[in-house]
Amino acid sequence: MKKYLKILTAFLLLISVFCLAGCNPKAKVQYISSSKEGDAVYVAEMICEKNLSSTVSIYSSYSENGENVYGTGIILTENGYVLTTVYSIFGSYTEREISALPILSGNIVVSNNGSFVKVNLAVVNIDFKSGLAILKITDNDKVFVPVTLETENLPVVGEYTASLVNAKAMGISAVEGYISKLYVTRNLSDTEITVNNLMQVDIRANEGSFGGGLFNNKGRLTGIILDRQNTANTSSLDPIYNITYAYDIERIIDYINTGNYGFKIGA
Amino acid sequence: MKRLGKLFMLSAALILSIAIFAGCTTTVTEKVYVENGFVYEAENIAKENISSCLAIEVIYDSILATKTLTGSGFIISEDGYVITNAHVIYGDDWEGAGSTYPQNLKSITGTIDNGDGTTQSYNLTLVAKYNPYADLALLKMNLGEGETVKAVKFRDSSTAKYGEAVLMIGNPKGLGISAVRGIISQPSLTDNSSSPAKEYILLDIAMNHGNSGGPVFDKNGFVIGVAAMRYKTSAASSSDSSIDLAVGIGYAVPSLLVQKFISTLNLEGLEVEFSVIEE
Repeated sequence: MKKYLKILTAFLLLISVFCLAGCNPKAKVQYISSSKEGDAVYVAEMICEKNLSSTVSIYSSYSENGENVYGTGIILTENGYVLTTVYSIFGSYTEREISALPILSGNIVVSNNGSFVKVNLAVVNIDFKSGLAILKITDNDKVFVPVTLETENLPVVGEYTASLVNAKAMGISAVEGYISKLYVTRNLSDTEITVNNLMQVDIRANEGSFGGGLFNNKGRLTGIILDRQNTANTSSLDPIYNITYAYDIERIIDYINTGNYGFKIGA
Repeated sequence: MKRLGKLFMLSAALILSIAIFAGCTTTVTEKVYVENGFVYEAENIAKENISSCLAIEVIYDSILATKTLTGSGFIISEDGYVITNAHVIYGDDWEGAGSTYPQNLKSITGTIDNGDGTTQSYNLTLVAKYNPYADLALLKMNLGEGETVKAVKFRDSSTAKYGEAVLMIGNPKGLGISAVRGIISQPSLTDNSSSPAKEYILLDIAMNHGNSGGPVFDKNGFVIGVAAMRYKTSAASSSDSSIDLAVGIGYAVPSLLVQKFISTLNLEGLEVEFSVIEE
């Protein structure tokens, strides 16, 4: 009896080993169409195609000292309201230093060869506390393509994101990455302003990238690039890569809709 | 006997657990982005093209010193013509070098990664450098009698789009052939900061020293550009920490310029044809 139990046990253990070796999960590939209908997943190329004409490269010119500042903006309405950052208009600033508004202009890319239309812009609101600003395209004869807001899902860590930015004033360029962290509190670069509930994104941000929209894999706006960790602010030449900060869509909607700027979004 | 009974029960429990586990995890869903019927898979593009990519080492030898330059290149014909950057051969002052053969050039070696942990090295000869409008040079592999090598396919760079996925294969930091994924940031950029102005494709990619001359493949595995340089700031060679460093901005010479370069050489049987995918 003892012998038979031993044989049976050995047999069962052998079966276990075979089971373990044989139950290698088979990968099932789910192909996702590039169709822009419904909930199709967008890759960077499709995100860019959808949002290129909703992105403005912004240039600010100061007649008093000849200084030029540049950044990026997102078109929110068909009549040309643009969301950007204070830094994109004023560069390094403190509230008390700003004495004059610049002459603002912008370019909107209209094709893959980089050709663009020029527009003029005016300041609607500057919010030093949040670092956000609203501009209005003053070319009233044109109809613009607004971004689509992501109002159904909040951003999550690890989520794919792509952006269109005017990095180094080289014109609009595409970058991509992932959401690294949520609920970050940070002192905005070159200011004494502390902001909270920022998203941290693993995305390249250079001078001029601020104000660029973050888009999810449905091509919808999930945030706006506000600030970054900057090698120039460190004491060594060890470069800092892809630590970029952004407001999420809730904060954007809140900023627009609690003010009285002549339009509302996300309703 | 009691111990054997316990062992029996344990085995039975183990089998039951495995059976439940296997039942729950037989399928793992993986999302694959499909575009116009083609699947972008870096792995396949690398597998298909790795044997057409070379790690290049250029050695200069003079009485005063020995200098080594490293870069990348790729094969454009079965008889072993190779494209790289002019600056990989001539150094940073490639624009002013004219078309003259570089002085004290001792050897150019290209190494192919066989993908199985082994490599194969070839001697290369400098055939030509392009004019100052594009950072390109043509080399020729010294192949054996009747020996052929695998060449890449090209795509017309004027069809490039914002955000397109790309795969760059090169020899960063002289560490050997490796692949890096990125996207096209800007399909067409004119760089007016140098004279004459130059055309580039701008990339959002991790480009390092040594990637220069390497192919940039599109999502279908066609070469759309040649990795050439990255955005530089003076801080890269300075101890001034107040200077803002740019990150992740790479430049590639468009394939259209490679085609123009090759056509100016009038080499028999050598031309760059663009592949087209029917959509």
